[in-house]
Amino acid sequence: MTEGRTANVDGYEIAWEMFKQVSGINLVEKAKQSQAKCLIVQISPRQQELKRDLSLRRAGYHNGSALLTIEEPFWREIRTFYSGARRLYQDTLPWLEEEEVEL
Amino acid sequence: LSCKPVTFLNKDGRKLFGMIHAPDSGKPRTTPIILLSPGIKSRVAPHRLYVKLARQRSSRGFLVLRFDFSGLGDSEGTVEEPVVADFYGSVQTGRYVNDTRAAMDWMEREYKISRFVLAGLCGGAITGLLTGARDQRVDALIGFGIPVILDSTQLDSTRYLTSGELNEWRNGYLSKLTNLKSWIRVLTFKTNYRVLLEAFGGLQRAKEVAAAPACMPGKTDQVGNFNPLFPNAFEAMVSTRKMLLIFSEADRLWSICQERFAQPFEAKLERYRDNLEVYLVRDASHIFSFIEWQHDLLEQICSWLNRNYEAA
Repeated sequence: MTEGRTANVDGYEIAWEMFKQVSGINLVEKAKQSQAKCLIVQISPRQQELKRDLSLRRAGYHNGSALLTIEEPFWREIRTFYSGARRLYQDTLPWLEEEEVEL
Repeated sequence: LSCKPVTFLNKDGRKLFGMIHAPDSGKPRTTPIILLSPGIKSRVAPHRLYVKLARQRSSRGFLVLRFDFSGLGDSEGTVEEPVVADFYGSVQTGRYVNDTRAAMDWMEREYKISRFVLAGLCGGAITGLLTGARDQRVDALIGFGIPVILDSTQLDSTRYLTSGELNEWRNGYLSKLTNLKSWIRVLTFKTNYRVLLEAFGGLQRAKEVAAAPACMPGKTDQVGNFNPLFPNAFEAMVSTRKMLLIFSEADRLWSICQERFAQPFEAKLERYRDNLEVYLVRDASHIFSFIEWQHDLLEQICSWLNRNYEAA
């Protein structure tokens, strides 16, 4: 990539510049500079503790919250046919609605 | 080039969403192309393959429609199957034939056209074939990575592996000989021992596979996981209309098609030489992920269409 070639990810060509910019984003550092409200969602197939790095990111925001929602990794090719991530909607829409009211 | 969103109703009254690509100037060629969505994917297809294809073809004078089947993408409807394999099985037995006919009906009304080229990858290809067998408005089929087998949770696909697939499994096992995790899988009974033994020739191949040549036109019995609808639909299409089948060399569907259909069906296929063209894209994956494979695919389609459909 550094020699100007691209990496192919499922048919999409990723250039060095894009890789550099995306991988250069430090979400924890960005959070500290941000006043934005933020909801961090961990998607997991089963109930478990929130991952440590997500808790750190949440703590980095002045107004951050985090939750775990139980869904299969629907963004991958999995055995289950996923027509919609209902629990993800149920868990995140109320937060959006609440924030919209306050705004 | 113009591209605009369109909607039309299918037989069940569900609204299907699509995009129509039209050449900017001049009269479009008389036979439009309808791109049929692959598997559970939408009208965009993997890595926007259908967008690239539609733009290329409309720039050469073709009217191109790509749309979402019901229950997928933006189209109305639901998919009830909880497991993808069963959904694939339903596509392989004609789930979306009526949606494809609805697309042809809509184009017939809108553009006063009654002949169509159907094209598609995988599930789109088999849908095109099954539609062509039932509907004479289908003038030709361009299928890439067409499956000749059925997917289903009721069928254990590892029972019907072709020698090409077994070869891939064997290479996979050999490449993991020094991998500790792989050995743990073997020792904790998580490995499929049937496949392991078959891959190294320690187990006789399933009887169903050996019986595959019995699948000939005229017979509709289920043999192994072979799609019993395939031979008759294939013959119905290719006996009177043109077909271009493109396969990817690294795709298991290529070896499956060869071993389960092309070889046992060889004598019959010879009769349809004038109507059938088969092209293999070297090294390519099922979804033609590398640009050079896409170029090869698009070039073949372009050249075939130019030979068979003259400019208006």
